[in-house]
Amino acid sequence: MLTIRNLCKSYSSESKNDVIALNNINLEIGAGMFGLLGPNGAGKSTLMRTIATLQQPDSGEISFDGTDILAKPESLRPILGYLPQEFGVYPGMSAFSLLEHFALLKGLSNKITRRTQIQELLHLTNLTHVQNKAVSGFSGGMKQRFGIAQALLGAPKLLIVDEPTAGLDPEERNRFHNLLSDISENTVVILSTHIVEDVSNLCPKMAIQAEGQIIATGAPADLTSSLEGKLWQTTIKKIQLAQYQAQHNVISHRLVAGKVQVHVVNKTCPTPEFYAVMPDLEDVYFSLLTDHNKGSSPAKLRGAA
Amino acid sequence: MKNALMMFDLIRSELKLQIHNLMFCILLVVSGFVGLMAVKGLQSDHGILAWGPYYLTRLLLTVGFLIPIIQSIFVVKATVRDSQNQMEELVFTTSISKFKFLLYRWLGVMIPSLLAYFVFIIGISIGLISVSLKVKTSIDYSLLLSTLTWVSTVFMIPAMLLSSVLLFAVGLFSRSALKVYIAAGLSFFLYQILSMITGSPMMVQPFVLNETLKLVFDFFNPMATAEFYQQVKHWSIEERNTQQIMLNGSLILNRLLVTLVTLVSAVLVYNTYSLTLRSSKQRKQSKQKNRKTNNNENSNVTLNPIFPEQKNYSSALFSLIKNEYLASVKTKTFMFISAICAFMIGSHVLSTFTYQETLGVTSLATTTIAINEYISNILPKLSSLFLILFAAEIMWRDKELHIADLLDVTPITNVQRFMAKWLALVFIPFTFITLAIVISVFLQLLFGGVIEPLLYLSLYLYVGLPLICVATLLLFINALSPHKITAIGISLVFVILSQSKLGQLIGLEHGLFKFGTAPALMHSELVGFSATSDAFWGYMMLWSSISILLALTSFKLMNRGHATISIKSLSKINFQQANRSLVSVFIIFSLSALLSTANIYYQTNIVGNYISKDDHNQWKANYEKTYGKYRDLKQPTVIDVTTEIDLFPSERRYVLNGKFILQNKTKQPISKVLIYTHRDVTYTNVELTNATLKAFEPNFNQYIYTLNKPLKPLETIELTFSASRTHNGYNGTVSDSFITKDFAYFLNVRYVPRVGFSQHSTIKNDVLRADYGLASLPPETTIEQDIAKYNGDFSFQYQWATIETTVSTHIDHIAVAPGELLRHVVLNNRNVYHYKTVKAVRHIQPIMSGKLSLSQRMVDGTNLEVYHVAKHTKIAQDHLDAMADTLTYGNKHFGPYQAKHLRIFEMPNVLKTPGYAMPQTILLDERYGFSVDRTNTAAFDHLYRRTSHETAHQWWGLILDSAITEGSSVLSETVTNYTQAQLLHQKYGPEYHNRLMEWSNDRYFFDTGQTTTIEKPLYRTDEHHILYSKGTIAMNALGNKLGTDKINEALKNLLNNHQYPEKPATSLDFIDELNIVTDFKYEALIHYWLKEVAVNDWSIETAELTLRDNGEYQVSVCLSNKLGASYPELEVELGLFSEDPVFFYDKPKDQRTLMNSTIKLDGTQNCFEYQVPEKPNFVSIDPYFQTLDQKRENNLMALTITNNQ
Repeated sequence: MLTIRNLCKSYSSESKNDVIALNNINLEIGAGMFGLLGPNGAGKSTLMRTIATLQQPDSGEISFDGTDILAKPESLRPILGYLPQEFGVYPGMSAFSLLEHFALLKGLSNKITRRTQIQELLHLTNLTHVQNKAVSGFSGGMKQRFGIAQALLGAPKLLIVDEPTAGLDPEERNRFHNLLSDISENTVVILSTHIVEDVSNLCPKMAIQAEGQIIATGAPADLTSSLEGKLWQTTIKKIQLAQYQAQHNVISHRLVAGKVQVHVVNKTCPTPEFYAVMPDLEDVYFSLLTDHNKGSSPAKLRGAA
Repeated sequence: MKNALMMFDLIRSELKLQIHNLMFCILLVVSGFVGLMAVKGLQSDHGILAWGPYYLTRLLLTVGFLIPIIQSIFVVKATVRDSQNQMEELVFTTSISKFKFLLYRWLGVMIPSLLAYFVFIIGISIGLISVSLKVKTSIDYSLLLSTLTWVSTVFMIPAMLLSSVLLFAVGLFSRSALKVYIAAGLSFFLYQILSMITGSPMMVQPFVLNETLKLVFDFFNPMATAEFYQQVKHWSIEERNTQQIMLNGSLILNRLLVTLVTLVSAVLVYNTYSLTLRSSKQRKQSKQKNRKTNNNENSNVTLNPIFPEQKNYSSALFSLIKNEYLASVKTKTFMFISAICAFMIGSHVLSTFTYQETLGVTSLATTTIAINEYISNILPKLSSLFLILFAAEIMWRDKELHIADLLDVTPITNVQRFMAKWLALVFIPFTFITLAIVISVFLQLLFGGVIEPLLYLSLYLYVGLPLICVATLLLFINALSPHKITAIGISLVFVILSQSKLGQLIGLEHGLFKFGTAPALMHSELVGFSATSDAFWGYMMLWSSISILLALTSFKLMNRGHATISIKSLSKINFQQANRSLVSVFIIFSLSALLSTANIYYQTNIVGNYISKDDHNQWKANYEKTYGKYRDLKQPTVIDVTTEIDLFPSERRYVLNGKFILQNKTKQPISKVLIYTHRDVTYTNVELTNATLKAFEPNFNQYIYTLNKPLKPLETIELTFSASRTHNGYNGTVSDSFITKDFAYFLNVRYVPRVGFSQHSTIKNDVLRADYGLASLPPETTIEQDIAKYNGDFSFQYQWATIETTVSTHIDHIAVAPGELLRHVVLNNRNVYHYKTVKAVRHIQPIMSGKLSLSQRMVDGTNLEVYHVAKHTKIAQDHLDAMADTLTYGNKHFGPYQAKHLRIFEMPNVLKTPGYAMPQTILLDERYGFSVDRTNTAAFDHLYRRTSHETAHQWWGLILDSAITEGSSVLSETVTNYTQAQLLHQKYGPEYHNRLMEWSNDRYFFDTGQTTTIEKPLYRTDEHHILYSKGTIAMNALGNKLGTDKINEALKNLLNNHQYPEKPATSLDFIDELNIVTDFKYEALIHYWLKEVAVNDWSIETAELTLRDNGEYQVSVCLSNKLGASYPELEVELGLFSEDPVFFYDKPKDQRTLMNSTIKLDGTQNCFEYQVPEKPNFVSIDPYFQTLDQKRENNLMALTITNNQ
């Protein structure tokens, strides 16, 4: 169980006031997949890095299975798997050599078991045939799969993956999702992403983060149910969008066949051209962000989980 | 118009980018400062103006090799920034044409370079104004301006254009800042090496390794230095002060070639470069891999978790080190840098094995000779420079590659990470050391040398340890710096200031300011590293302690993850939170650093009496101001010396007790005696009989005694003294006072009390004198003025005494002093030797003691002895041969040698004494005297020449002690060179000596181009190239004409008439003796060679070969002497040859020499005709180098038949 209490972190800014990256974050995350959803700049990566012991918060506590990992980061590292949003590799080093290097750093000193696991990981990430090629020459997707492999080395009890499927083709993405799903049975897996579908498909529990705050937590279905009967859709001309945004609580809009499809949250049907639709997690996400941006967020939305 | 405006805006924006930054401002300040400092020391006291065309041109050419280094800064910005900042796509997809892109970027290099150069010459101009004010000579500003403009236009700007285009090309095609810097550094080093091995006068020790290489380099030399030195070779002072370098044939050709190379390079760059990205091939490969990947379907594999083991410290550390190291060395950059190192080291070792000295002399391929080429210079300096790059690379790599997060979340400890980086960095210089060893061993094996593995292994300590300290410092700088570039900049400043002499410019002169360095190490077969090894370890104790502290601080500064480090972090280090052992280590090494600093200060400043250059000059100035009034005070002379010296080699200490008998050799009574003692020797007692000490100034070590009763002429008094001195290596090696465990050498001259005002303690340079408030020295008097002044009697200058020496030394040492060995006993387990000269000798008292072997031979009643290390027994016999020949020749022709011993000592190379003759003692350097490859039969026998030269000094310089006036060295060096020539003739035949004649010709003209003084005739000169080189040719010419018997007779007479205690001889006495023995028959010839500046320029103007009816060949040749000899009777040889005489001029004449005639161009006849039975193919004037000929390329002409009658 990963417990986060009152976590705060701000960065000093050259021109203006400090930027608050984490604003009193409180989370409890048990075994299984946990999705952290949020727009760019929400503070997701800061939260991930803080949990991964890569930076210290200004205040707050993080414990894993009862151990204060901020005070004793070395206790977490042997059981931590981490895939950052961006990472590099040593030029010219082969996939196998680099995995072996990380395995040694992670304390896998038994050569036979270490190499067996590396082979398994290479197989799982579909890199076996390029294991002797330099990772620096890999394409983006291959490199991402390599990152996944290194994160899974050893026996991580806490796996933090930050935007893991970026650059993966749909097939690889599915494969990775399945893998994460398998692993999460006995492991805390935190999946940070801005792809709503990934969270929706994978995570039984999730949180939405915006401007350093957790604005919602819970199971995706529970969060979705909160919008049931309140979501309305219509199709308008592009030119009408500004008018609709001014008149209605538009949470999202997108182009469909040259016209704009608008989603509005309202207790009742706003006007006759709107019709009710079933909400999905994306609607919840946009709704919460809209509310948060308007500053009208009544309170943190918490699901039933 | 629109295009032009756009181009103008582009250039303006590029310039803004290049020059609107701190770096450029610093560069301008540095350029101006360097310009200012470059002329600070220039003198005008020899008549050559510092602002005259000669000096200024030479100065600008000398600093020209810095151009690529400065331009590299701009080139990196102009060519690499797009790639560095991932801007290539954006820039390349704009509408700019390739031509415009390349032009504005290149101008962004060239214009700032010109600005920096402009500031540099402003610095020079200000410096020159300051010099002119000091020496109170006004500057001709129009001359200064025209010179700077002319030199800049003809020499500097073409070189800058070439350098900018080549570096620009490197930047464009490599897109790597590092490669640009390396290319700039390489061109800097290559230019210096090429200048050195092609014999450029710019370099300190030039030699011509290969004539073809020299020709090519001279043609393409971007700075055209060869053309400059060729033109100024014979310039008079007035020409040097007023005449600009002429844009003549060879200079025009050189400039055209340089411009052509620049243009061709520019065109090649334009044609080859394209505004596209580079990695298309790589991308293609990636796509193929992807495709392959997508075909590989297998998802039924499960992952079996493995739990980490607790004790995994070493394997993780090893993996980290291996990875850090390999990531650094398995790169093209490292390979390239290694190639530079290998080239530099290899070329140095190769050149030292193939060139020991002129005329093909090679050294034995010993390990000592090999490692001395690089241990104190190339290897540590190059390694330090490259460490800057690798330290930054290792410290910033994880962050730059975005791999830091992956590593930081692993269970490895900070200690492991830090140790891995530190060790990986340390292994890099160790790699260079290994490379140096491998190259040296390979070359040693190639040249048949004996490998000394332990000596090679010691390099890891002596070169490696300082580099470990430098690596640690660089690691610390990187740990503390917010950016990689800042770290590189700071590191560069640290390394340059500590590893070069530039630090001295800002007062960082003391060794304590030079992190990671110690007094230069040099290995000797006699004394190992012991000359300065104590200082090495003393400094290493300090640098290691500081390094450990820096390493600990770096370690504490090291953060995982994303926290940034700043200078503020230092103050945040909380050592209270650190564990006790860490704090203890910190305290221990802080104390160790403090104690080491105190020790170094004590050894350097207290024991070694260190004084900075400025303080020393100030001290000298104060001494002169205080005691200058005693300069002409008549003083008594030392006539008898009794010395007891106890040498304690293992303690590097001696104790000295002495007694001088002083005699009033003047004609007036003396009532005041000045005694001066050397500041480096601790005197516990100085007593003068019958005298009262009136004043003693400890700061100047100057005693002033008033005699209780004035000392009448020929009366004597006694001076007794006791002193001691402890040596160490902290201030380097002193060449005349040297004590180590295995060898000791003490020369009395500077260290025993000296009577009278100490001329040695005065400043001789007029600019320096002005700096320290001293008046200029009066102009030197001529020989004629001195003769008139002293009525031809210079006897008062004699410093001759009988010398008695008792030396006690270590039981394993042999000790030797001047004179005959009277007694040798062992007392208290120490060897005690008692020596005494049979009669008075020049008061030079060398004392040697060492663990040496002795080879000896009795010749003409004199025991010839060679003291050497055991392995040099064979070569010692060669020295004995040369000594024996010279002794026999001298005894026969000049008069008997006046002692029963003559000794040669093998001297450690650290003392840098190639050859030095003293009474009954000769010192020969271990390298030049004993590590010579005697199997190289093609080499000139410099060993025989040098030993016979030094032996001949026993007559010339030591028995005949000439008057101290102009030309005094003619009677020692020139006459000794004559004697050595006779011995070479005797041993090898006269033709063999032609090689030395050729070399003397070259050396004379080479040095004439270098000297800043007006050439004096031989009889008045003290310049080496005139005394030795011209002297050799002059004496050879006189010998040929007068006959060596006559010359020897004149020399014998000179010796008989002027040896101590007779009146000392002058060079005019020698000329008189020559005229007397030849009944003034050759007075004009003797006058020409000895009393004129004798230079010729023989030239074959035309030569025609015809076949005569009788089958003989007729050669009609017209000649000239372009310099017009002042002595029209001067004879010169003309030869007809079937082959080019250059191949056999040093061999006895054979069938290839068809005719050899002696002619003179006295104005009546310049054309000559000869008939020879065989067809000549070459005609040559002065083929055997018997005269001084300025231009030899017009001395040879190939002949072809012009008729077919």
